[in-house]
Amino acid sequence: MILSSGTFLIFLAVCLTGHYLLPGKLRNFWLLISSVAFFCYAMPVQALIMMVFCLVVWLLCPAMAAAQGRLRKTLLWAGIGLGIGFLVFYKYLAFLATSLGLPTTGAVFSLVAPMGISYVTFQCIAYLVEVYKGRMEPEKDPIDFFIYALFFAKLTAGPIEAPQAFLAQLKQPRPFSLHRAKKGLLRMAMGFVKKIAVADFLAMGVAAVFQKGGQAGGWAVIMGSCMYAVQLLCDFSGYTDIARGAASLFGIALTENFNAPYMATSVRDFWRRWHISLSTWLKNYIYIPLGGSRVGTLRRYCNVMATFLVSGIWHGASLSFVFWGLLHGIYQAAEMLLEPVGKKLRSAVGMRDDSPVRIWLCRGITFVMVTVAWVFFRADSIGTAWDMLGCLFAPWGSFTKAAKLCGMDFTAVLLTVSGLFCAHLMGKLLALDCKKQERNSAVTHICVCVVWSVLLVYMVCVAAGGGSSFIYFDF
Amino acid sequence: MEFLYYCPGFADIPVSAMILLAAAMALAVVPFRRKLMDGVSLGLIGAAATVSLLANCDRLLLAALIFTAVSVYLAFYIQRRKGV
Repeated sequence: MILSSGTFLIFLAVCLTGHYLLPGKLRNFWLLISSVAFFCYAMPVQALIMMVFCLVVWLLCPAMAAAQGRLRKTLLWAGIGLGIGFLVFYKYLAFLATSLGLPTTGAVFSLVAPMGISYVTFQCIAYLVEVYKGRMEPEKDPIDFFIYALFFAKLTAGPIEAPQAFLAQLKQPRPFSLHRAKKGLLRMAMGFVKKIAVADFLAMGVAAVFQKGGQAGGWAVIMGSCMYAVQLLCDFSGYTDIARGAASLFGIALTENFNAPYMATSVRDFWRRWHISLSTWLKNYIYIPLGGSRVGTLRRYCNVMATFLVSGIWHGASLSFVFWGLLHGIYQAAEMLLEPVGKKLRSAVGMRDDSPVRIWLCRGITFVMVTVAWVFFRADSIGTAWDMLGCLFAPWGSFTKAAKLCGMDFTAVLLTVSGLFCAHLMGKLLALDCKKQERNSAVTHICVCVVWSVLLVYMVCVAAGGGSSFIYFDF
Repeated sequence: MEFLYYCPGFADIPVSAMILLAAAMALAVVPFRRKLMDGVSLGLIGAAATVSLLANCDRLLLAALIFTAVSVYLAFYIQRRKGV
Protein backbone atom coordinates (compact mmCIF):
# COMPACT_ATOMS: atom_id res chain seq x y z
CA MET A 1 0.00 0.00 0.00
CA ILE A 2 1.70 3.18 -1.20
CA LEU A 3 1.32 6.07 1.24
CA SER A 4 0.41 8.50 -1.56
CA SER A 5 -2.50 6.33 -2.80
CA GLY A 6 -6.24 6.53 -2.34
CA THR A 7 -6.18 3.07 -0.70
CA PHE A 8 -3.95 4.43 2.05
CA LEU A 9 -6.27 7.40 2.62
CA ILE A 10 -9.23 5.03 3.04
CA PHE A 11 -7.18 2.77 5.34
CA LEU A 12 -6.11 5.80 7.39
CA ALA A 13 -9.71 7.02 7.71
CA VAL A 14 -10.84 3.59 8.98
CA CYS A 15 -7.93 3.36 11.47
CA LEU A 16 -8.57 6.89 12.75
CA THR A 17 -12.28 6.26 13.22
CA GLY A 18 -11.61 3.09 15.19
CA HIS A 19 -8.84 4.75 17.20
CA TYR A 20 -10.96 7.63 18.45
CA LEU A 21 -14.16 5.59 18.92
CA LEU A 22 -12.42 3.15 21.26
CA PRO A 23 -11.69 3.97 24.91
CA GLY A 24 -8.16 5.17 25.71
CA LYS A 25 -6.94 1.82 27.07
CA LEU A 26 -7.70 -0.02 23.82
CA ARG A 27 -6.21 2.56 21.46
CA ASN A 28 -2.69 1.11 21.43
CA PHE A 29 -4.10 -2.34 20.77
CA TRP A 30 -6.08 -0.92 17.83
CA LEU A 31 -2.94 0.79 16.55
CA LEU A 32 -1.14 -2.56 16.64
CA ILE A 33 -4.01 -4.32 14.82
CA SER A 34 -3.94 -1.56 12.18
CA SER A 35 -0.17 -1.87 11.75
CA VAL A 36 -0.33 -5.66 11.40
CA ALA A 37 -3.20 -5.32 8.90
CA PHE A 38 -1.13 -2.79 6.91
CA PHE A 39 1.82 -5.20 6.83
CA CYS A 40 -0.31 -8.28 6.05
CA TYR A 41 -2.11 -6.46 3.21
CA ALA A 42 1.22 -6.22 1.39
CA MET A 43 3.04 -9.41 2.45
CA PRO A 44 1.38 -11.70 5.04
CA VAL A 45 4.14 -14.32 5.32
CA GLN A 46 6.90 -11.76 5.71
CA ALA A 47 4.78 -9.91 8.28
CA LEU A 48 4.67 -13.07 10.38
CA ILE A 49 8.44 -13.57 10.08
CA MET A 50 9.06 -9.97 11.10
CA MET A 51 6.76 -10.30 14.10
CA VAL A 52 8.64 -13.41 15.24
CA PHE A 53 11.90 -11.45 14.98
CA CYS A 54 10.42 -8.59 17.03
CA LEU A 55 9.11 -11.08 19.60
CA VAL A 56 12.59 -12.59 20.00
CA VAL A 57 14.09 -9.12 20.54
CA TRP A 58 11.37 -8.23 23.05
CA LEU A 59 11.95 -11.49 25.01
CA LEU A 60 15.72 -11.08 24.88
CA CYS A 61 15.81 -7.62 26.46
CA PRO A 62 14.52 -8.42 30.00
CA ALA A 63 16.93 -11.39 30.14
CA MET A 64 19.78 -9.12 29.02
CA ALA A 65 18.83 -6.40 31.52
CA ALA A 66 18.80 -8.96 34.37
CA ALA A 67 22.10 -10.55 33.35
CA GLN A 68 25.53 -9.29 34.41
CA GLY A 69 29.01 -9.25 32.91
CA ARG A 70 29.81 -11.57 30.05
CA LEU A 71 26.33 -13.06 29.72
CA ARG A 72 24.86 -9.57 29.31
CA LYS A 73 27.30 -8.80 26.50
CA THR A 74 26.68 -12.21 24.88
CA LEU A 75 22.92 -11.61 24.87
CA LEU A 76 23.43 -8.15 23.33
CA TRP A 77 25.58 -9.56 20.56
CA ALA A 78 23.13 -12.44 20.06
CA GLY A 79 20.36 -9.88 19.48
CA ILE A 80 22.47 -7.68 17.19
CA GLY A 81 23.75 -10.76 15.35
CA LEU A 82 20.22 -11.98 14.83
CA GLY A 83 19.18 -8.60 13.41
CA ILE A 84 22.18 -8.33 11.10
CA GLY A 85 21.85 -11.98 10.08
CA PHE A 86 18.19 -11.39 9.26
CA LEU A 87 19.13 -8.36 7.15
CA VAL A 88 21.99 -10.15 5.37
CA PHE A 89 19.84 -13.19 4.63
CA TYR A 90 17.09 -11.17 2.95
CA LYS A 91 18.99 -8.28 1.40
CA TYR A 92 22.61 -9.24 0.78
CA LEU A 93 22.74 -12.97 0.16
CA ALA A 94 22.64 -12.72 -3.64
CA PHE A 95 25.13 -9.83 -3.60
CA LEU A 96 27.55 -11.80 -1.39
CA ALA A 97 27.19 -14.92 -3.52
CA THR A 98 27.84 -12.96 -6.74
CA SER A 99 30.84 -11.21 -5.17
CA LEU A 100 32.30 -14.59 -4.16
CA GLY A 101 31.61 -16.05 -7.60
CA LEU A 102 29.03 -18.53 -6.29
CA PRO A 103 25.87 -19.48 -8.25
CA THR A 104 22.74 -17.51 -7.34
CA THR A 105 20.16 -20.02 -8.50
CA GLY A 106 17.74 -21.52 -6.01
CA ALA A 107 14.67 -20.53 -4.03
CA VAL A 108 16.68 -18.87 -1.26
CA PHE A 109 17.86 -16.13 -3.65
CA SER A 110 14.37 -15.30 -4.86
CA LEU A 111 12.90 -14.64 -1.40
CA VAL A 112 11.14 -11.30 -1.05
CA ALA A 113 12.46 -9.21 1.84
CA PRO A 114 9.87 -8.08 4.40
CA MET A 115 8.71 -4.51 3.98
CA GLY A 116 10.83 -1.99 5.88
CA ILE A 117 13.28 -4.69 7.05
CA SER A 118 16.23 -2.25 7.28
CA TYR A 119 14.24 0.25 9.35
CA VAL A 120 12.75 -2.34 11.72
CA THR A 121 16.12 -4.04 12.23
CA PHE A 122 17.90 -0.74 12.99
CA GLN A 123 15.19 0.23 15.47
CA CYS A 124 15.45 -3.15 17.23
CA ILE A 125 19.26 -2.80 17.41
CA ALA A 126 18.82 0.70 18.89
CA TYR A 127 16.43 -0.73 21.50
CA LEU A 128 18.83 -3.56 22.41
CA VAL A 129 21.79 -1.17 22.80
CA GLU A 130 19.80 1.35 24.87
CA VAL A 131 18.66 -1.40 27.27
CA TYR A 132 22.19 -2.85 27.42
CA LYS A 133 23.67 0.57 28.25
CA GLY A 134 21.05 1.01 30.98
CA ARG A 135 19.67 4.16 29.38
CA MET A 136 16.17 2.66 29.44
CA GLU A 137 14.24 -0.15 31.08
CA PRO A 138 13.09 -3.08 28.92
CA GLU A 139 9.58 -2.44 27.63
CA LYS A 140 7.14 -4.55 29.65
CA ASP A 141 4.14 -4.13 27.35
CA PRO A 142 4.53 -6.23 24.16
CA ILE A 143 1.84 -4.16 22.42
CA ASP A 144 3.82 -0.94 22.88
CA PHE A 145 7.04 -2.62 21.73
CA PHE A 146 5.39 -4.04 18.60
CA ILE A 147 3.95 -0.61 17.78
CA TYR A 148 7.44 0.86 18.20
CA ALA A 149 8.83 -1.65 15.72
CA LEU A 150 5.93 -1.96 13.27
CA PHE A 151 3.84 1.24 13.44
CA PHE A 152 2.37 1.44 9.92
CA ALA A 153 3.09 5.14 9.31
CA LYS A 154 6.84 4.61 9.66
CA LEU A 155 7.09 0.92 8.72
CA THR A 156 8.01 1.26 5.06
CA ALA A 157 10.73 3.93 5.12
CA GLY A 158 11.20 5.28 8.64
CA PRO A 159 11.99 7.65 10.29
CA ILE A 160 14.19 5.41 12.48
CA GLU A 161 12.85 6.33 15.91
CA ALA A 162 14.74 6.43 19.18
CA PRO A 163 13.00 3.92 21.51
CA GLN A 164 12.75 6.14 24.62
CA ALA A 165 11.00 9.04 22.92
CA PHE A 166 8.62 6.88 20.90
CA LEU A 167 7.61 4.49 23.70
CA ALA A 168 7.05 7.40 26.12
CA GLN A 169 4.43 8.79 23.71
CA LEU A 170 2.53 5.50 23.73
CA LYS A 171 2.15 5.72 27.54
CA GLN A 172 0.48 9.13 27.32
CA PRO A 173 -3.26 9.63 26.71
CA ARG A 174 -3.82 10.87 23.17
CA PRO A 175 -7.20 12.63 22.99
CA PHE A 176 -8.45 13.97 19.65
CA SER A 177 -7.34 17.50 18.88
CA LEU A 178 -8.70 19.53 15.96
CA HIS A 179 -5.61 21.72 15.90
CA ARG A 180 -3.35 18.64 15.66
CA ALA A 181 -5.61 17.10 12.99
CA LYS A 182 -5.38 20.31 10.96
CA LYS A 183 -1.58 20.33 11.17
CA GLY A 184 -1.39 16.60 10.38
CA LEU A 185 -3.57 16.98 7.28
CA LEU A 186 -1.56 20.01 6.13
CA ARG A 187 1.68 18.04 6.54
CA MET A 188 0.20 15.13 4.59
CA ALA A 189 -1.00 17.49 1.83
CA MET A 190 2.51 18.93 1.64
CA GLY A 191 3.92 15.41 1.26
CA PHE A 192 1.41 14.57 -1.47
CA VAL A 193 2.32 17.74 -3.42
CA LYS A 194 6.05 16.96 -3.16
CA LYS A 195 5.56 13.35 -4.21
CA ILE A 196 2.89 13.61 -6.90
CA ALA A 197 3.49 17.03 -8.42
CA VAL A 198 7.28 17.09 -8.25
CA ALA A 199 8.98 13.72 -7.61
CA ASP A 200 6.79 11.52 -9.81
CA PHE A 201 6.92 14.03 -12.61
CA LEU A 202 10.70 14.44 -12.52
CA ALA A 203 11.13 10.66 -12.33
CA MET A 204 10.30 10.17 -16.02
CA GLY A 205 12.94 12.63 -17.26
CA VAL A 206 15.53 11.27 -14.83
CA ALA A 207 14.86 7.70 -15.99
CA ALA A 208 15.29 8.75 -19.65
CA VAL A 209 18.68 10.38 -18.94
CA PHE A 210 20.06 7.55 -16.79
CA GLN A 211 18.87 4.97 -19.34
CA LYS A 212 21.00 6.67 -21.98
CA GLY A 213 23.99 6.64 -19.63
CA GLY A 214 27.19 7.74 -21.35
CA GLN A 215 25.29 8.59 -24.57
CA ALA A 216 23.19 11.29 -22.90
CA GLY A 217 25.50 14.28 -23.47
CA GLY A 218 26.81 16.90 -21.03
CA TRP A 219 23.70 19.09 -20.80
CA ALA A 220 21.44 16.08 -20.28
CA VAL A 221 23.73 14.71 -17.54
CA ILE A 222 23.72 18.07 -15.74
CA MET A 223 19.94 18.41 -16.04
CA GLY A 224 19.27 14.75 -15.21
CA SER A 225 21.49 14.72 -12.12
CA CYS A 226 20.09 18.03 -10.80
CA MET A 227 16.56 16.75 -11.45
CA TYR A 228 17.42 13.54 -9.60
CA ALA A 229 18.70 15.53 -6.62
CA VAL A 230 15.35 17.34 -6.45
CA GLN A 231 13.35 14.17 -7.17
CA LEU A 232 15.05 12.22 -4.39
CA LEU A 233 14.54 15.01 -1.87
CA CYS A 234 10.87 15.49 -2.79
CA ASP A 235 10.23 11.75 -2.91
CA PHE A 236 11.77 10.96 0.47
CA SER A 237 10.82 14.14 2.31
CA GLY A 238 7.35 13.84 0.75
CA TYR A 239 7.06 10.33 2.17
CA THR A 240 8.32 11.55 5.56
CA ASP A 241 5.76 14.35 5.59
CA ILE A 242 2.94 11.89 4.82
CA ALA A 243 4.21 9.52 7.54
CA ARG A 244 4.62 12.31 10.12
CA GLY A 245 1.25 13.82 9.22
CA ALA A 246 -0.52 10.45 9.47
CA ALA A 247 1.19 9.68 12.81
CA SER A 248 0.27 13.07 14.25
CA LEU A 249 -3.40 12.32 13.52
CA PHE A 250 -2.99 9.53 16.11
CA GLY A 251 -1.24 11.90 18.50
CA ILE A 252 2.22 10.49 17.81
CA ALA A 253 5.09 12.81 16.87
CA LEU A 254 7.69 11.25 14.58
CA THR A 255 11.23 12.59 14.22
CA GLU A 256 11.96 15.23 11.59
CA ASN A 257 14.08 13.66 8.84
CA PHE A 258 15.00 16.68 6.71
CA ASN A 259 16.07 20.26 7.29
CA ALA A 260 16.67 21.97 3.93
CA PRO A 261 19.58 19.63 3.03
CA TYR A 262 20.58 21.45 -0.15
CA MET A 263 21.20 24.59 1.89
CA ALA A 264 24.05 22.79 3.68
CA THR A 265 27.40 24.59 3.62
CA SER A 266 29.49 21.42 3.86
CA VAL A 267 29.03 17.68 3.37
CA ARG A 268 29.17 17.26 7.16
CA ASP A 269 26.38 19.84 7.43
CA PHE A 270 24.48 18.01 4.67
CA TRP A 271 24.41 14.85 6.79
CA ARG A 272 23.00 16.83 9.72
CA ARG A 273 20.11 17.81 7.44
CA TRP A 274 19.51 14.75 5.21
CA HIS A 275 17.85 11.57 6.54
CA ILE A 276 18.51 12.87 10.07
CA SER A 277 17.18 9.73 11.78
CA LEU A 278 19.61 7.46 9.88
CA SER A 279 22.54 9.87 10.43
CA THR A 280 21.73 9.97 14.16
CA TRP A 281 21.53 6.16 14.30
CA LEU A 282 24.87 5.78 12.49
CA LYS A 283 26.48 8.37 14.78
CA ASN A 284 25.14 6.77 17.98
CA TYR A 285 25.64 3.10 17.14
CA ILE A 286 28.57 3.04 14.70
CA TYR A 287 30.68 6.22 14.82
CA ILE A 288 30.74 6.84 18.60
CA PRO A 289 31.30 3.16 19.60
CA LEU A 290 34.26 3.14 17.15
CA GLY A 291 35.78 6.03 19.10
CA GLY A 292 34.17 8.95 17.26
CA SER A 293 36.36 12.03 17.11
CA ARG A 294 38.07 11.43 20.47
CA VAL A 295 40.83 9.38 18.85
CA GLY A 296 43.87 10.14 16.71
CA THR A 297 43.50 11.82 13.32
CA LEU A 298 44.08 8.71 11.23
CA ARG A 299 41.71 6.62 13.36
CA ARG A 300 39.10 9.37 13.10
CA TYR A 301 39.26 9.26 9.30
CA CYS A 302 38.93 5.47 9.45
CA ASN A 303 35.85 5.84 11.70
CA VAL A 304 34.24 8.28 9.25
CA MET A 305 34.95 5.94 6.32
CA ALA A 306 33.58 2.93 8.22
CA THR A 307 30.39 4.81 9.15
CA PHE A 308 29.75 5.86 5.56
CA LEU A 309 30.59 2.39 4.30
CA VAL A 310 27.81 1.04 6.54
CA SER A 311 25.51 3.81 5.27
CA GLY A 312 26.26 2.83 1.67
CA ILE A 313 25.72 -0.90 2.30
CA TRP A 314 22.51 -0.17 4.22
CA HIS A 315 21.07 1.57 1.15
CA GLY A 316 21.37 -1.51 -1.01
CA ALA A 317 23.26 -4.59 -2.06
CA SER A 318 25.30 -3.18 -4.91
CA LEU A 319 28.77 -1.79 -5.47
CA SER A 320 27.26 1.55 -6.58
CA PHE A 321 25.87 2.13 -3.08
CA VAL A 322 29.14 1.05 -1.48
CA PHE A 323 31.01 3.49 -3.72
CA TRP A 324 28.47 6.25 -2.96
CA GLY A 325 28.98 5.72 0.79
CA LEU A 326 32.76 5.73 0.44
CA LEU A 327 32.61 8.87 -1.69
CA HIS A 328 30.77 10.68 1.11
CA GLY A 329 33.37 9.35 3.56
CA ILE A 330 36.15 10.73 1.33
CA TYR A 331 34.32 14.10 1.09
CA GLN A 332 34.15 14.37 4.88
CA ALA A 333 37.74 13.29 5.39
CA ALA A 334 38.84 15.87 2.81
CA GLU A 335 36.77 18.56 4.56
CA MET A 336 38.41 17.77 7.91
CA LEU A 337 41.83 17.79 6.28
CA LEU A 338 41.28 21.09 4.46
CA GLU A 339 39.52 22.93 7.32
CA PRO A 340 42.67 24.62 8.71
CA VAL A 341 43.76 25.59 5.19
CA GLY A 342 40.35 27.17 4.56
CA LYS A 343 40.54 29.15 7.81
CA LYS A 344 43.99 30.49 6.92
CA LEU A 345 42.82 31.40 3.43
CA ARG A 346 39.77 33.26 4.78
CA SER A 347 41.82 35.26 7.27
CA ALA A 348 44.34 36.09 4.52
CA VAL A 349 41.59 37.40 2.24
CA GLY A 350 39.75 39.04 5.16
CA MET A 351 36.52 37.10 4.63
CA ARG A 352 34.27 36.59 7.65
CA ASP A 353 32.82 33.15 8.48
CA ASP A 354 29.27 34.49 8.16
CA SER A 355 29.90 36.33 4.89
CA PRO A 356 26.99 35.68 2.46
CA VAL A 357 29.47 35.22 -0.42
CA ARG A 358 31.26 32.48 1.52
CA ILE A 359 27.99 30.82 2.60
CA TRP A 360 26.53 30.71 -0.90
CA LEU A 361 29.83 29.56 -2.41
CA CYS A 362 29.97 26.72 0.14
CA ARG A 363 26.33 25.83 -0.57
CA GLY A 364 27.06 25.69 -4.31
CA ILE A 365 30.15 23.52 -3.87
CA THR A 366 28.33 21.17 -1.46
CA PHE A 367 25.39 20.81 -3.86
CA VAL A 368 27.73 19.93 -6.73
CA MET A 369 29.60 17.35 -4.60
CA VAL A 370 26.39 15.75 -3.33
CA THR A 371 24.85 15.70 -6.82
CA VAL A 372 27.94 14.02 -8.29
CA ALA A 373 27.57 11.35 -5.58
CA TRP A 374 23.86 10.97 -6.47
CA VAL A 375 24.91 9.95 -10.01
CA PHE A 376 26.57 6.84 -8.51
CA PHE A 377 23.52 6.32 -6.28
CA ARG A 378 21.11 6.32 -9.24
CA ALA A 379 23.14 4.75 -12.07
CA ASP A 380 22.83 1.03 -12.83
CA SER A 381 26.53 0.49 -12.23
CA ILE A 382 29.67 2.39 -11.29
CA GLY A 383 30.81 2.14 -14.93
CA THR A 384 27.65 3.84 -16.20
CA ALA A 385 28.07 6.60 -13.61
CA TRP A 386 31.68 7.22 -14.72
CA ASP A 387 30.54 7.24 -18.39
CA MET A 388 27.88 9.84 -17.54
CA LEU A 389 30.33 12.03 -15.66
CA GLY A 390 32.75 11.59 -18.56
CA CYS A 391 30.18 13.36 -20.79
CA LEU A 392 31.02 16.58 -18.93
CA PHE A 393 34.55 16.49 -20.36
CA ALA A 394 33.33 16.16 -23.97
CA PRO A 395 31.21 18.58 -26.08
CA TRP A 396 27.93 19.06 -24.17
CA GLY A 397 25.61 18.81 -27.19
CA SER A 398 22.38 20.70 -27.71
CA PHE A 399 20.62 22.24 -24.70
CA THR A 400 17.21 21.99 -26.43
CA LYS A 401 17.67 18.28 -27.16
CA ALA A 402 18.73 17.69 -23.55
CA ALA A 403 15.65 19.52 -22.24
CA LYS A 404 13.48 17.41 -24.56
CA LEU A 405 15.12 14.21 -23.32
CA CYS A 406 14.45 15.29 -19.72
CA GLY A 407 10.79 15.96 -20.63
CA MET A 408 11.18 19.60 -19.58
CA ASP A 409 8.42 21.26 -21.62
CA PHE A 410 6.25 24.20 -20.47
CA THR A 411 3.83 22.00 -18.46
CA ALA A 412 6.64 20.14 -16.71
CA VAL A 413 8.51 23.30 -15.71
CA LEU A 414 5.31 25.02 -14.51
CA LEU A 415 4.16 21.96 -12.56
CA THR A 416 7.55 21.40 -10.91
CA VAL A 417 8.08 25.06 -10.00
CA SER A 418 4.51 25.62 -8.77
CA GLY A 419 4.59 22.31 -6.84
CA LEU A 420 7.89 23.21 -5.15
CA PHE A 421 6.69 26.72 -4.34
CA CYS A 422 3.37 25.41 -3.00
CA ALA A 423 5.13 22.80 -0.80
CA HIS A 424 7.55 25.46 0.47
CA LEU A 425 4.69 27.77 1.48
CA MET A 426 2.85 24.88 3.14
CA GLY A 427 6.00 24.23 5.18
CA LYS A 428 6.11 27.91 6.16
CA LEU A 429 2.46 27.80 7.19
CA LEU A 430 3.14 24.71 9.28
CA ALA A 431 6.06 26.42 11.03
CA LEU A 432 3.86 29.47 11.66
CA ASP A 433 1.13 27.25 13.15
CA CYS A 434 3.68 25.63 15.46
CA LYS A 435 4.96 28.99 16.73
CA LYS A 436 1.65 30.74 17.34
CA GLN A 437 -1.02 29.75 19.81
CA GLU A 438 -4.11 28.62 17.95
CA ARG A 439 -7.13 30.71 18.91
CA ASN A 440 -9.46 29.86 16.03
CA SER A 441 -12.92 28.44 16.62
CA ALA A 442 -13.75 24.75 16.09
CA VAL A 443 -15.70 25.64 12.91
CA THR A 444 -12.63 27.32 11.40
CA HIS A 445 -10.48 24.30 12.31
CA ILE A 446 -13.00 21.95 10.69
CA CYS A 447 -13.14 24.12 7.54
CA VAL A 448 -9.35 24.07 7.26
CA CYS A 449 -9.32 20.28 7.80
CA VAL A 450 -11.85 19.95 4.97
CA VAL A 451 -9.69 22.12 2.67
CA TRP A 452 -6.57 19.99 3.22
CA SER A 453 -8.58 16.76 2.90
CA VAL A 454 -9.99 17.96 -0.45
CA LEU A 455 -6.46 18.77 -1.61
CA LEU A 456 -5.36 15.24 -0.62
CA VAL A 457 -8.20 13.66 -2.58
CA TYR A 458 -7.50 15.96 -5.56
CA MET A 459 -3.83 14.91 -5.56
CA VAL A 460 -4.85 11.25 -5.57
CA CYS A 461 -7.19 11.93 -8.52
CA VAL A 462 -4.46 13.81 -10.44
CA ALA A 463 -2.06 10.90 -9.91
CA ALA A 464 -4.70 8.28 -10.83
CA GLY A 465 -2.89 5.47 -12.57
CA GLY A 466 0.38 7.38 -12.55
CA GLY A 467 1.42 7.14 -8.91
CA SER A 468 4.64 5.29 -8.21
CA SER A 469 6.33 3.75 -5.19
CA PHE A 470 8.72 5.73 -3.00
CA ILE A 471 12.44 5.35 -3.75
CA TYR A 472 13.38 4.70 -0.12
CA PHE A 473 10.92 1.76 0.13
CA ASP A 474 13.61 -0.31 -1.60
CA PHE A 475 16.16 0.36 1.13
CA MET B 1 -21.73 23.17 -20.11
CA GLU B 2 -19.51 26.21 -20.41
CA PHE B 3 -16.58 24.51 -18.74
CA LEU B 4 -16.11 22.58 -21.93
CA TYR B 5 -15.11 25.71 -23.85
CA TYR B 6 -11.37 25.83 -24.02
CA CYS B 7 -9.07 28.79 -23.66
CA PRO B 8 -7.50 29.81 -26.99
CA GLY B 9 -4.14 30.72 -25.41
CA PHE B 10 -3.82 27.64 -23.24
CA ALA B 11 -4.75 24.63 -25.36
CA ASP B 12 -6.77 21.98 -23.48
CA ILE B 13 -7.59 24.22 -20.51
CA PRO B 14 -11.28 25.05 -19.87
CA VAL B 15 -12.03 28.79 -19.82
CA SER B 16 -14.18 28.38 -16.71
CA ALA B 17 -11.25 26.92 -14.73
CA MET B 18 -9.03 29.80 -15.78
CA ILE B 19 -11.66 32.34 -14.68
CA LEU B 20 -12.19 30.56 -11.35
CA LEU B 21 -8.47 30.51 -10.62
CA ALA B 22 -7.97 34.14 -11.65
CA ALA B 23 -10.86 35.15 -9.36
CA ALA B 24 -9.43 33.08 -6.49
CA MET B 25 -6.05 34.78 -6.86
CA ALA B 26 -7.67 38.21 -7.03
CA LEU B 27 -9.70 37.54 -3.87
CA ALA B 28 -6.57 36.39 -2.01
CA VAL B 29 -5.36 40.02 -1.94
CA VAL B 30 -8.62 41.76 -1.00
CA PRO B 31 -7.95 43.55 2.32
CA PHE B 32 -11.44 43.34 3.95
CA ARG B 33 -13.87 40.61 5.22
CA ARG B 34 -10.94 38.21 5.28
CA LYS B 35 -12.67 35.09 6.61
CA LEU B 36 -15.34 35.37 3.92
CA MET B 37 -12.74 36.08 1.24
CA ASP B 38 -10.61 33.13 2.38
CA GLY B 39 -13.62 30.82 2.14
CA VAL B 40 -14.64 32.11 -1.30
CA SER B 41 -11.07 32.01 -2.60
CA LEU B 42 -10.53 28.41 -1.50
CA GLY B 43 -14.00 27.49 -2.76
CA LEU B 44 -13.13 28.85 -6.20
CA ILE B 45 -9.88 26.85 -6.26
CA GLY B 46 -11.89 23.77 -5.24
CA ALA B 47 -14.36 24.46 -8.05
CA ALA B 48 -11.50 24.76 -10.55
CA ALA B 49 -10.13 21.42 -9.28
CA THR B 50 -13.57 19.84 -9.79
CA VAL B 51 -13.70 21.22 -13.34
CA SER B 52 -10.25 19.80 -14.02
CA LEU B 53 -11.43 16.35 -12.94
CA LEU B 54 -14.73 16.53 -14.87
CA ALA B 55 -13.56 18.09 -18.12
CA ASN B 56 -11.51 16.27 -20.72
CA CYS B 57 -8.50 18.54 -20.39
CA ASP B 58 -4.76 18.61 -19.78
CA ARG B 59 -4.90 17.70 -16.10
CA LEU B 60 -1.24 18.27 -15.41
CA LEU B 61 -1.22 21.80 -16.82
CA LEU B 62 -4.38 22.60 -14.89
CA ALA B 63 -2.87 21.06 -11.74
CA ALA B 64 0.12 23.37 -12.22
CA LEU B 65 -2.23 26.36 -12.46
CA ILE B 66 -4.11 25.19 -9.36
CA PHE B 67 -0.83 24.93 -7.42
CA THR B 68 0.03 28.43 -8.60
CA ALA B 69 -3.31 29.71 -7.29
CA VAL B 70 -2.85 27.87 -3.96
CA SER B 71 0.67 29.31 -3.72
CA VAL B 72 -0.56 32.87 -4.32
CA TYR B 73 -3.29 32.38 -1.71
CA LEU B 74 -0.85 30.88 0.82
CA ALA B 75 1.75 33.60 0.22
CA PHE B 76 -0.75 36.36 1.06
CA TYR B 77 -2.27 34.36 3.92
CA ILE B 78 1.14 33.81 5.53
CA GLN B 79 1.98 37.47 5.05
CA ARG B 80 -1.22 38.46 6.89
CA ARG B 81 -0.64 35.91 9.67
CA LYS B 82 2.89 37.23 10.20
CA GLY B 83 1.45 40.70 10.60
CA VAL B 84 -1.00 39.65 13.33
